[in-house]
Amino acid sequence: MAYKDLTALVVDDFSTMRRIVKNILRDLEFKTILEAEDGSAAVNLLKAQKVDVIVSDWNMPKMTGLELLKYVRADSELKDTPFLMITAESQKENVVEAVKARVSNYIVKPFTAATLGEKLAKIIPDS
Amino acid sequence: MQEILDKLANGVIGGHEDLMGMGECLNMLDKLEVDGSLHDHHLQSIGQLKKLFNRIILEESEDRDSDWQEIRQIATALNEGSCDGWTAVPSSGEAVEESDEDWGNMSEGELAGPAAIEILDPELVGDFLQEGRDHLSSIEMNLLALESNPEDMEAISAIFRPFHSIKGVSGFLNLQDVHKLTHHAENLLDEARSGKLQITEQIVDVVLEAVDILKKLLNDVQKALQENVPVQTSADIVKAFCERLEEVQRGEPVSYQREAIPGRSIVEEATGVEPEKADMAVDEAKEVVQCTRQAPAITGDPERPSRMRESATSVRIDTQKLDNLVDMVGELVIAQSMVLQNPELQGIKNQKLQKDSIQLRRITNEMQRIAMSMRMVPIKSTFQKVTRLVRDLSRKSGKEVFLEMRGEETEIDRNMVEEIYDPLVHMIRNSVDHGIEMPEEREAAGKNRQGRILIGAEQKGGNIVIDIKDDGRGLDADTILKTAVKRGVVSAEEQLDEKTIYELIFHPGFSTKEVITEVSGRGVGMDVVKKCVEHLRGKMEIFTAAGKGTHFQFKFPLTMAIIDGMIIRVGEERYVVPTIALQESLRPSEEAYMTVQGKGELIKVRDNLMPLIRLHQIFDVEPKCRDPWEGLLLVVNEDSRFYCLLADEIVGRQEVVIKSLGSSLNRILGVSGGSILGDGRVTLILDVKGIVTRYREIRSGANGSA
Repeated sequence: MAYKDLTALVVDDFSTMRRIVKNILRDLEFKTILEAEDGSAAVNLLKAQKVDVIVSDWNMPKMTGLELLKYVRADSELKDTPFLMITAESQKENVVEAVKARVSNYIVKPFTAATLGEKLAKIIPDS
Repeated sequence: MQEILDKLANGVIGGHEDLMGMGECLNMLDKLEVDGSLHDHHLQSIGQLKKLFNRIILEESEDRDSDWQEIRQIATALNEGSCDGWTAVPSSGEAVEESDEDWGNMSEGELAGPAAIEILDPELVGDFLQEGRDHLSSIEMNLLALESNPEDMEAISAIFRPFHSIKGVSGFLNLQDVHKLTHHAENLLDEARSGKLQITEQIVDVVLEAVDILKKLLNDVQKALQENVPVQTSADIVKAFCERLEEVQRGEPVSYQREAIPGRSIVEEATGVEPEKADMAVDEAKEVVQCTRQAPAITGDPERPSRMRESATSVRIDTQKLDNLVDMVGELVIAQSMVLQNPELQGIKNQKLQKDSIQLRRITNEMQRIAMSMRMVPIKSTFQKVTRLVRDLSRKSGKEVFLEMRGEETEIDRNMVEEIYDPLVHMIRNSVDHGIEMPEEREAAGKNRQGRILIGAEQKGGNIVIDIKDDGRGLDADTILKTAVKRGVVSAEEQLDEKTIYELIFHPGFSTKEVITEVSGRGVGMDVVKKCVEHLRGKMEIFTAAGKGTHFQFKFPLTMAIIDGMIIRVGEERYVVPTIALQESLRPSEEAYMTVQGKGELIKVRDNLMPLIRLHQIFDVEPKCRDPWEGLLLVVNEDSRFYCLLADEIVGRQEVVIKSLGSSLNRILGVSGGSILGDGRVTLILDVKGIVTRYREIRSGANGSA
């Protein structure tokens, strides 16, 4: 698989959800999968380590996914990191906001492993 | 500006897979929009572009390629025509442009609109009304949440959004008043959202008022729609109100003018039955039911009611059709038992037949269950209306009340929703007015200043249990009894236990409060509650402790189409007695039976004397046993008094489907309907109230002639 050398960061305040995403990413053979429980934890982590893709939930305490996205896009080092936003069916209006903040793509809960795989394939540049 | 337009025209080349490119475009469009130099029609096409982008982004587009094509066309046209008078975009079969033109004009608000507006697309307007009302109730809910926590940005957004949606659609549908009002309300909320405006009580008030006026406007539209006439505008009301909104927005103190506004507050709405409202109720009832599929969407996220979205997998169906289905399934169940219980069929000793008939029974039972569940809706919306009521009531009475809700997700029969609402309002009104004390009084009694009212719903077996609890002063049996005697509800000699005394408050015209307040006491009293409970074949219980509060508990059958019944036999006839009406059944000893001068036959049950009602007499059939100690007595409670019904025996207990006897037989004393038993025999369902009435008639007739 193409992801063998890549590091992914999963951001979600809900540990079950993190686990679900992590399992899918593991099946996709990512080399390293990091976790953060909200935007601010992710920011701290990103300061220390470079990641190849961020998969983040929207709705989180402290720092939301959108705020994280804005932070990433505003940072000169991080700004090109592929960013996949997870959003709930009932919060679709958020999507437009995320797109405006230049999210790479988004995925609506509940999703399947296949959909997540497809979305990742779309946003991770072939190398 | 030209630069942005150029970029835009280039930016759209990326294709509809390129989300980030589209994000850039949207940002540019936003910039263009705030650029003041654009004409209205430019703004329109920018709006149109945004709409198309959003559609693609949200994957709601039916044909991405053609939408994309349109985007490119508009963007190019916008770019080329930006300097001079650019003309209409090549329309791709969408009517939006045309009506947007009108909308653009009228949103200026300067043009005096016509006095009446033609409804162009009734179907669309009908949908809009339905959706608009849903929006309004979610706005109300969130406003109340906002009031308790003015910093709640989620709530502000949740209020802002529905206003925004209503504004958008009303503009499209040419409903100028609605459009203007929502536009102004949205402005106000936008300021609040961006933090420029502090949420105060006044703002909540004025937005609630906006909701009231909107309700009125929507009702006007609905009326016009039904009568197929143009909508009369209420431009003056809307104009006056919008001016006030602006004043509030500028932070000027505005006098509290709620009463001057024709939008009736919910308090009035609940009591004054206007023909208009009645019509609407009928209409709403007729209208549509949301299948149960919608339930998770509503109950899923209790913290954000505004975010309810109808799931795309639900279908709206006429309630009439649903009722017919339920009826037919009922028939099916009966027909099935008739076939399977056919003696000739039962004589067949075929294993396959037996297996298949079990399978058939399983399927029909499941089908019946599903059909029933389709009529169920969560009680939440009914409860939500009460929230507003409590707020208005506590304002008016000066009491502090906290309302707690439990079990909003409990589902009840759609037909019961409307029926339950009025009694619920009366009970809550009663709790606030009579139960909860003034803050000072509460403090003096060592209680929290703020009174609490809890409404809860719960499904227990085949019943829905609704609780209304308050922590007020409780009921005072002495006062109630004195008043009841004074009003002639009961005689002074009667020995009544406490429970019976409490129930007296549900007697017509009973009110212990000397002063008639605005909140409760309009002459119509708690007897409405009692009537409703009877009508729904429900039961009511009161628990109370002086100084601690009162707890009213209502039990309603889950559905009005089926009752749990005791099948009894009198001679050759069988009858069904609703189980909920029964206290107990017993066979008395010979000594318990007595005849008292002037009172007729009585049965002594544990020191209580209860009148004996001979069912065979009421229905004029030949019984098997005439002596109570040989037959069976059913103890029933009617109007706080106990009676014994004499039958031959209890045959069994069964859920029966209630059938109307038809319009020609619809008012028979003592019979509330018919039913078909498993063996195909038709039986009558007894109405205890009617039987007691009939018994009294017979008694007074006998006394009169004696």
